[in-house]
Amino acid sequence: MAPNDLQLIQSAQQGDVIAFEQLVHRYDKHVLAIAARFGNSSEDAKDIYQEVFLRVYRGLKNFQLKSEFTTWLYRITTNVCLTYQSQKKKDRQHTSLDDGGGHENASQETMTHVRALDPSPDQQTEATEISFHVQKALNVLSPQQKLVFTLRHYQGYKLKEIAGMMDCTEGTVKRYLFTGTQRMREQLKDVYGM
Amino acid sequence: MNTHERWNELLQLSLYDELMDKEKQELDGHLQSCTECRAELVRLKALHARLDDAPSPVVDDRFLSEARQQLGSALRSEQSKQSLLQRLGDFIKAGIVPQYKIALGGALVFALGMVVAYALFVPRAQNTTSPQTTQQISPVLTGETRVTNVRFLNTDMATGEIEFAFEAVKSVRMKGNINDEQVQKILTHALLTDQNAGVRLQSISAMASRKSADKEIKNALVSALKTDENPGVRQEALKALQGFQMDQEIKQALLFVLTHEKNPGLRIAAINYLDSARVGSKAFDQDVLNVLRDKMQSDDNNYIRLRAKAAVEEVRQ
Ligand SMILES: [Zn+2]
Repeated sequence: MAPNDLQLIQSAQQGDVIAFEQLVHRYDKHVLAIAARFGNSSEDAKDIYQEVFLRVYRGLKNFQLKSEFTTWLYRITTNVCLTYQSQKKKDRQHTSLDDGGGHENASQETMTHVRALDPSPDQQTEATEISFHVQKALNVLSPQQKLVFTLRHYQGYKLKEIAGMMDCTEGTVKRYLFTGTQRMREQLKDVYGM
Repeated sequence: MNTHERWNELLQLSLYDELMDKEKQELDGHLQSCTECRAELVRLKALHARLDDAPSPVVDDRFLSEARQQLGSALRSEQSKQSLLQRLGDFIKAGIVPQYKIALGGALVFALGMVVAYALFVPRAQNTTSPQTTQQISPVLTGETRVTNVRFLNTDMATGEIEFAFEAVKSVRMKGNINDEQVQKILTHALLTDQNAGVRLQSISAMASRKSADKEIKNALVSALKTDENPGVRQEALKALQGFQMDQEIKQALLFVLTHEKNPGLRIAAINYLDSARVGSKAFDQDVLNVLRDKMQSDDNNYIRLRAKAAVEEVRQ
């Protein structure tokens, strides 16, 4: 019988790396999916993913066994997302003095990212174009709005679950979703006339 | 908030199926009498349809294993950093060092002792480097501990603050049988965590020589085969796995290699192993066949395409 989370955590706390790895592999696909939807490129996604599990690794010693591991994991995940500055953004800050066209480059990269993650790019140019506009609109949102929106709309988490993940009230999450959607709509209005 | 903003919010939540029964009834009642909100609902549905047309990034096995490889190397460097800090911390906490003594001798080592003291205490006490702090840290450099590979990361001559990394290695000698559980634990630990690919390779060859098939070793090998960033380590892991009885996990790992591994040599080894393990049993399982059928078309390596084709055709007869 496979060990449960609690057993894995206890072993991992005593330095058992295999147990830690098993624990990671149990949930990491979900974390990567959240990161991939939230980040602007596959590099962003892998960076977020890595930071989440490094924090889990560092924090595991002090993890209280009576609390729920997944709650803790998703809190870390949302925290990392909210504070994450994409590599692109950081690069842009470094080069902003000598490169006035940073914004165009950014859009271009978003485009490539969506293509890169797309399983069959040549057949889906239309979907790619929509993805490009949606991604651009998402980047106008505040990190909180973007996170709530992507978690609810694209990952299918319920608002109640998102509130648990972000450690805030359901009412707050509703507001982020509502205001986020409104802003997305304004952005997409120019393109699709809605 | 004005009343229509509230209705707008309810309309949006209704599309996410996030209304309570009472709110739902309220909204339905309002929609019957308000043309504006009915029109808004149509527009919102159109927006949702647009948003749904934008596919989410695909998180497939390949992407996942890339992320895991990257995490693996980050964890390895984290682990070596942590154990070093822990060791230093233990020395300081123990508060040993009654007398001032530097056992290893030599100017270079002495200099390192000063440097260590500096790095640890300067951030807290900016101006002074008292002899005591040097004494406190000196046990790090006593006994059989070796300090190697000092890398200077940052130096600020103005404040005297420096940041650097080094390896403080206290070697432990251990003699035991490869079938001993403790020995296996240390080796699997090394395979999964050691930063040095050479050490990981040696752990594998030691594991490959064990007599009993141990599940933990097998798991560590499967994990290394799928996630180690060093192709040499992945290759040795695959070789070592050939000493195990073929089972579902090994088979799945081989199919993973066949599908996702970039190195053609490893893909060839995987297909050879799958084929040789088949001897005795009549046919490949359906999931193996599926991968082979795909490979005979899509692999960019000629040999693999031919080999897959031969295997599939042989089964057909
Ligand atoms: Zn109305």
